Amino acid sequence: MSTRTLVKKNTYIDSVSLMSISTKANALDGVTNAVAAMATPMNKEILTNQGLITAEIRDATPGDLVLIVVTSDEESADAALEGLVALLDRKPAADSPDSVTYHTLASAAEARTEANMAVISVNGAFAAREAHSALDSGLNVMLFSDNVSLDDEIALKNKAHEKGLLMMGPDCGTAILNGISLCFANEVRRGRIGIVGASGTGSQEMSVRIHDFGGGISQLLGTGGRDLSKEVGGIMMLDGIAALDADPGTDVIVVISKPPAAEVAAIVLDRLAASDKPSVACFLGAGEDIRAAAEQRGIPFFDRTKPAALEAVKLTGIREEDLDLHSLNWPLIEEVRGKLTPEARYIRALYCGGTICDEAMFLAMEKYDDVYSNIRKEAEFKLGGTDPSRAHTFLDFGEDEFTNGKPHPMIDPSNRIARFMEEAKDPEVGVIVLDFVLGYGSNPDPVGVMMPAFREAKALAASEGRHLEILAYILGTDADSQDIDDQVAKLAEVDVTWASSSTNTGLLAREFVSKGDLA
Amino acid sequence: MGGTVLHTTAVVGDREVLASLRNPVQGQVHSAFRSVINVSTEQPELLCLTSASVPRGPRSLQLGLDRMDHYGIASGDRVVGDGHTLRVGESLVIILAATPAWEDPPTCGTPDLERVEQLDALMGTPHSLLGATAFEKAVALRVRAGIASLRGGVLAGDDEATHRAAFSLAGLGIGLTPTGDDVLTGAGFVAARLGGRLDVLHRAVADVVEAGPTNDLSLTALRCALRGRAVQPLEELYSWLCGASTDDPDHLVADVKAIGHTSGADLALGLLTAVRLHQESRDC
Amino acid sequence: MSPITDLFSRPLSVISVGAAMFAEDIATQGAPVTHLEWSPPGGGRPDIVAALTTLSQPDIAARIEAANAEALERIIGSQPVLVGFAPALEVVPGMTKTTILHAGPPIEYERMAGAMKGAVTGALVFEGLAADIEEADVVARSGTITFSPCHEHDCVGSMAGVTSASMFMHIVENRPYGNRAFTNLSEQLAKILRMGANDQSVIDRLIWMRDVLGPILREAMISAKEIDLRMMLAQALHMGDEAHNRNNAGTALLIQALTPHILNSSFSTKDQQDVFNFVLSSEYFSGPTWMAASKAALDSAKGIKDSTVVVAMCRNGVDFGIRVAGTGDQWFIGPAQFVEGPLFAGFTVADKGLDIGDSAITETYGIGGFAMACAPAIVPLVGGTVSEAIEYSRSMMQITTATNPNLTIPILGFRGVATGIDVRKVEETGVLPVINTAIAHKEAGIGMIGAGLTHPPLEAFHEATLALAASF
Repeated sequence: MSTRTLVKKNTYIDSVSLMSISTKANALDGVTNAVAAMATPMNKEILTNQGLITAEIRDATPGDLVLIVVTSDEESADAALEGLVALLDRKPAADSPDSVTYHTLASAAEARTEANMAVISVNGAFAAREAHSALDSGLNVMLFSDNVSLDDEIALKNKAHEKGLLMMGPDCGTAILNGISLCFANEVRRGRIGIVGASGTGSQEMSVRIHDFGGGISQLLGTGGRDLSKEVGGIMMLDGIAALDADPGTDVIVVISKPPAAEVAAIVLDRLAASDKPSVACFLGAGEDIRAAAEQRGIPFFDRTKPAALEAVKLTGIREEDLDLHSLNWPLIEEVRGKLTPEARYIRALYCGGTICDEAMFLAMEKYDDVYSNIRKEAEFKLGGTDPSRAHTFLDFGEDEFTNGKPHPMIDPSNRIARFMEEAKDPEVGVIVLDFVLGYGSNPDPVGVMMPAFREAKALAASEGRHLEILAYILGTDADSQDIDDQVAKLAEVDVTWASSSTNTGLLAREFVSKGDLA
Repeated sequence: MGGTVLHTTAVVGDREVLASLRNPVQGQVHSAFRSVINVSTEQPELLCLTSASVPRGPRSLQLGLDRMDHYGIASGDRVVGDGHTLRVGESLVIILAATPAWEDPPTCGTPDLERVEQLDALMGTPHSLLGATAFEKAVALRVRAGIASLRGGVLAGDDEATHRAAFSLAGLGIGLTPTGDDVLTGAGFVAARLGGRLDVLHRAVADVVEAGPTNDLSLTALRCALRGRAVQPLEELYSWLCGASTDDPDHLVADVKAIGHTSGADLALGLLTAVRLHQESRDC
Repeated sequence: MSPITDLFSRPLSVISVGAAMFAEDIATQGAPVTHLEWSPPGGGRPDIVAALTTLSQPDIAARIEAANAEALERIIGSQPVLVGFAPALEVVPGMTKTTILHAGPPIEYERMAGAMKGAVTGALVFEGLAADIEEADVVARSGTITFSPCHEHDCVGSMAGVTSASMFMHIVENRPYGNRAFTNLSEQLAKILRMGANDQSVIDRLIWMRDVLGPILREAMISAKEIDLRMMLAQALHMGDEAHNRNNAGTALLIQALTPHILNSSFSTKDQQDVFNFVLSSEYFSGPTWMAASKAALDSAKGIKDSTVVVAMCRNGVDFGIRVAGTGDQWFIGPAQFVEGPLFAGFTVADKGLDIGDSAITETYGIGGFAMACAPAIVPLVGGTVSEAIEYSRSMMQITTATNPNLTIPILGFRGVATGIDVRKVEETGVLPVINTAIAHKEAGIGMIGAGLTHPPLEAFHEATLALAASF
């Protein structure tokens, strides 16, 4: 870590410039922290606490501007400070003569001939149009936007298929192409396993598990949540499998999704079977018929993410014996069972990630009948956005009934925090489950924002003489920017149990609250 | 462009400023930006020459110009007023004759509880940690702590605690007017208007101004706040809170939020904090 | 190998539209990414988006492309030539003794802006149709006067653009297409009819222009025969003009061409001197000339079916009107806008009148605001920076069809001016044409109070887009 400091005497810089400095400065090469602030006593105190104070700063007055860059290595430090100073000098309005602004995909694609990918996240009303424009310009497309009609999706995917281009989405939140993570994705090892995922957090979980088991990702393609419906028929999934099949960088193909329509499942499994490369099919919550169909074709099938990831890395030659499999911690389960009162029997799962919520819910449903959710299709078990929890309740806060105009819970946690406090008050609750997603696109400190709520909940339960088990799952790797160790340490601080995988989370939750069971 | 002198009229001016400029004055340019040129004179508060797009406020003269940065004016340039005109540097002359004065909104009663709730809902959560650097996170946490201490001190009527809390906010944060200063400005403005239990808050902010642990721009705003004066959008928002005839409140809030980068939101945070304190201290 | 697999073997290079944070994350990882400055097409209006979708269907788009190509061929191939000067009554189609032409789209007298009313009443007195201004107002409302846009009579008019029977007009002929365009003469100084002033000094000047200036110019042109305006305009652009607000070079070139012929004319030395001094008194003298040249070129593209190219942009101080090649004489209207720029001493934003005049015909042709990169010296007048001025000439390329190789911009590598505003591109990009123009006082009789930049209202383009979609 290297630090460079500059004090500009009696320098007043426009507010807008000052504010945007920090964000822009953080994007400079090698910069881990940047400060542009007036040298007031209070700011100096913070800088002292952060170990950034110098004699020059101490002598500065409130009318002086302090600039600090902290870089990961010595080499980039001087350049980083120069870069920070340059940001200040640049007028916000005047463009440099070399920077050109493009207003349309077509004009940008025409000028940037080497461009090969369009990432589109505009409002759903305009998304299809932009995607068509991108495909017409010969670009592969990642369509993050949702609220795109089924007809539009089919038309786009057919066009992409004809042109031999990717049409990832609509409602595709995760992809990793050529080692570059797009939208919501984690920083994972590059390797030989290719993933085609019809679900965002499911793909993230799969990639993170594979990384944890020592494997790596060649490409992670997304298809959007509706690709495996009967109407769309898996167009993108099939094209994705074909692409990975032909990719010299991919040795193993993994497919992950919530359960597809039966006829589409068959087509996908057929396509996997037709490939020379080994593959793994992971359909969460799939019934016996899909399992049988896979087995019939000789395709390893799993309805849980962790064993699917393990199988995939084994297929690349990694030996199971060499791995830490994070087996289920039975001593812990016994301990928690012992701590819970007989009354505390229910799981309340509050998730940001839809697919991992699914996984945990399906695991609970294997053991319990009274599982309710806003993402269950059966009317008798469906909960709306304003319904109170019932028995075992699994909530996906990313769904419309909860987001309703607010940002996604991965960015704005307030809805989930509010619900968490309610659950914490309920003595019938045995375990509250929460996911924390790290990586690109996510909150810089997901656990941190929950800490006050954790403390309050634990204190409340303690004052009422009961144990409240809180189980957290952090979806991330050691390479993500959010410092997973720090996140885990925070959980430990407030006595929150953490699970090592999505699968384990679901298993732990259902076992914690099991009463009169012989395991 | 060298050599041209632009004569332009001041469109509207703060009443106090216009009165003081009827006498000759000497000063210099304190800082110059795209939308504002700040001038320091023998008076303790800066004089702000603003473009047409900047909200009116105490200590300001609004000019009929869209941008202020075309005239080569820089810090240190001489400013001379002869009672009729104000000459700034070599290239700008402001004609003061017939400039109307800005009217403060009429003083009103006390804030209406329902409107306070409404405003609270409209303002949303300030200072999320999203995208924050380590420094910004530290600032955000201290702002929350500082406000909590301020509340504690005022509710207890504790001068020393309130004083400490105010000083913990002074000069705190990024921005031309640091976050903590804007909070104190918003709160000080309400304290000046409502008095009573908020006097302890007023005294604390006055202490901050006296000690001056922050920059001139903030100090100017704080001094005006202590006289019950603030930029027009904030004054209008406060008038609405007190029951003044309605503009659509969404619009008032949007105008406040548009001040500076986060200054507006911070001013409103200070305002709301003080208004709530006033209500709570009445309830006890 | 499928194209997707091909993607895997090349470096990822991204174009992003929507949330900036996704682009920032990609940049952090070191992949090249361009983030668009995007706004919903058609201003987000679903009916406009639907119309744009109609216009982009392959068969329709093909027809539009072909029509636009033809329109551009004509506009670029046009060669406007000044062939003479004559009173409006003699040469302007449809002109009568009781006709008053005005700038902008059609508007009734009662609704006219203050400056235009001032000009109308002044012109009525000048023509002897009223004894004084008060009576002129009554006459104007009486129904005996025919009001019509200049544009509908092959004319253009600067600012209020009020043109009456006895006013001398430029006669501009478009080779090789044969159509003609006309415009009256600049009154030069600030207190002028075109700005809404109408006191006796204004009338007196108009009389002198009718009795001395016009006839001298007429005789000079008979001797000169013709002046190639396109070539002269190209020279003026290379000499630092943009031919709308800055006309120093153009005026010098024009009077230089006319001087020998003025000296040759039958008028007295004093009259000739008065003419030279008149031209000297303001560099604006050639402003109307370039307007007429632009009008002549653009009119040759009028009526080309299926074309989405704009052939006229004009304002009357209340409304802003555009005309499109493919929709004939139809006007598409939106509200006239304010002009943003520095004001002269003593005036404030409260004094500003709305955008007025036919002079936006220059931007429609690709000069004026579109050629600001030719005229850095205009920056103090209209505000902004030199870089911004240059940038406008670049950015207008995004909404035009082609560049005109006959009118080039030295600092941009002699690239031709951006020509042929395409309604569809304006809607798709959200970029509006920039217009560089004078600011008049909102009341009659006071005149020019500043200059600056403005844009047409998007509403006018919305109307045009809907009409175009309906026409297929």
